[in-house]
Amino acid sequence: MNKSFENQWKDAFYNASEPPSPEMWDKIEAALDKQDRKASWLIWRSPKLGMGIAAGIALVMGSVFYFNHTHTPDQMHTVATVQEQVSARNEMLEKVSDGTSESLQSTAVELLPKTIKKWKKVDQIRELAQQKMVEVQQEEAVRQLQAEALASKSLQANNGLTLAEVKVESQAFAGETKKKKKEKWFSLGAGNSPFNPNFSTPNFQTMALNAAYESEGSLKLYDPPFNMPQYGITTSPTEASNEFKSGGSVSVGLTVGKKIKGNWGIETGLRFTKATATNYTNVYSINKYTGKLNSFANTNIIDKSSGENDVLIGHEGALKYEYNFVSVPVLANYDIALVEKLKAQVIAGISNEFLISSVVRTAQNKKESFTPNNSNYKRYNLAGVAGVRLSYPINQHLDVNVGTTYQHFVTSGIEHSSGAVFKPSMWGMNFGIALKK
Amino acid sequence: MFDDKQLIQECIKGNRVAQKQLYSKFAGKLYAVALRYMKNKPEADDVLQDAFVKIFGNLSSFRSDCPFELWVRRIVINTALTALNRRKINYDITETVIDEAYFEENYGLNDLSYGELLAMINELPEGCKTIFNLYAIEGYKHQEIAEMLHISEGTSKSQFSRARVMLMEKLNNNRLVADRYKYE
Repeated sequence: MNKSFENQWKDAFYNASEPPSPEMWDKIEAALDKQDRKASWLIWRSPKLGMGIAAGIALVMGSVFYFNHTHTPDQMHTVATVQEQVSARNEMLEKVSDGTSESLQSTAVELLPKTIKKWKKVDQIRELAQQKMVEVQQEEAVRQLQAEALASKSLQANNGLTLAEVKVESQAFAGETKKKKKEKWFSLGAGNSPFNPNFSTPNFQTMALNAAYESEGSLKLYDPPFNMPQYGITTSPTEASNEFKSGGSVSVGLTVGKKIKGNWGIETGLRFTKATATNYTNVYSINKYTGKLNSFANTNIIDKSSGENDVLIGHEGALKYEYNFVSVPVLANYDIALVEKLKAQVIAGISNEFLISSVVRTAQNKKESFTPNNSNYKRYNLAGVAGVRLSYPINQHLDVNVGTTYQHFVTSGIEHSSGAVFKPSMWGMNFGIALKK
Repeated sequence: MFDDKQLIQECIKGNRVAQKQLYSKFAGKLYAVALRYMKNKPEADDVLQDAFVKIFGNLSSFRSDCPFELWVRRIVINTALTALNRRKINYDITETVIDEAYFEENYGLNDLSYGELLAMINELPEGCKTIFNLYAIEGYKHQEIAEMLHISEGTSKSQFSRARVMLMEKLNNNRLVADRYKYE
């Protein structure tokens, strides 16, 4: 191909200059102002988000300190060596482009393979990528790096050097850096969902009726001075009911995660959950000695040592239960790129659930606290977890995410001879902010 | 006024005075680049605006082992190519192009003004024009162009040959017209 034709066009255009319209700077300035405003808007638009970010600042700062590290002496030397080689190569190629010397050309060619070999080393690639990719989107940084690698030679047409190796290696570099991007992350999150205790008591009817009939041989009748207006005596105590209905839950937690291969990653963390449920029952226990009123389920199934009670079947009443759990989830996640920077993550795994306490408000509006020590609740349970979340980067280090998760106890959270089962489930929303490294 | 190093630092800090100074220094050359790739001035305006926003946004990642002008030029070219990609240009070429390579000292470019040469380039079909710009003026190799535009190397070469033939015809026609006027 006749290069002279191209060179003539290049000479005509390469250094050409054409002034843009006088309004161009104003447009650019307006766009820059808009960008600056957008960054502020994102944090302050939602007070909840702002509070959440404020609440997480201490944790984020600690994580930044933990994750950030200065280059080791070896890495610094390596980076400096690579940069020196790139500078030396560029200087050499400027001389080559003058066509002054074939020996210079061959020297440059010799220099090139060494640089390529250097670029193959993962540590160096990663280090160079880290320098070049601070505050720059991944794709733009890769294009710039490719352009820098290529342009220093490609501008000087007909320099006799093949850039194929550089292009291929820069692509390998790009692939490598893409793979190594953002391996670890640390997240602060919160969630809320309906909470279904899935508390079932097989044979409750039989248990309750037997207990009621055995109470001093007959059902007790209580006069109005006992002041239990809603707990009257039924004239046909043949139906005993005990049902736990769903309440709600709120959880907050910390998560750490890591990419293991390709789009797969793992995560674990610590989460605290407070959940509520309501027990509707018409079967009550009254302590023979203290008169303390409680639900039959509490005294006969949950409580380990409730004392001697008479059992009464009456009108339905409601008791509010509150549960406090600490969880350690262990989950696998899989990234799915959606549009632009938005990605979805599918998560699944198990959660190690530790019951801290259960607080119930009795019919007399008194609080009673149950722990694994004084009740038949089990301290440790296993739950299955699955969900999906959407993740969007605010900047190079921070992502916001929102998602939905379903969790269901696999093991029963209570152990009782009656065969009572307590396998809570939750399906709700969660949101968080993640710091990536 | 800032010196070059100071200028970049001040631009990174968001100093509008420094940013305007940087803009004034490079706007002319970069606008000329945008004009070569895009169909018309409004499109070139958009490319220049987007490119400068990217330049100021990514300035902190600039490393001095690459000439600054080259770095900003690359950003303008990439911005132009992104804008062109949205048009889904079909680079495939079906006609056979016979490009007889020959050497001539003077193709007649020197007789034409910058504006006339720019008009000639802009008359080329879009696919040819992009590849001609990348190969002849920016100096990319056909393999690199193929990877940038997601086409085959053969297509890049064919499109360039087509551009070359078309431009040579225009230059020849222009020379014939000029010679006729000279002798009339």
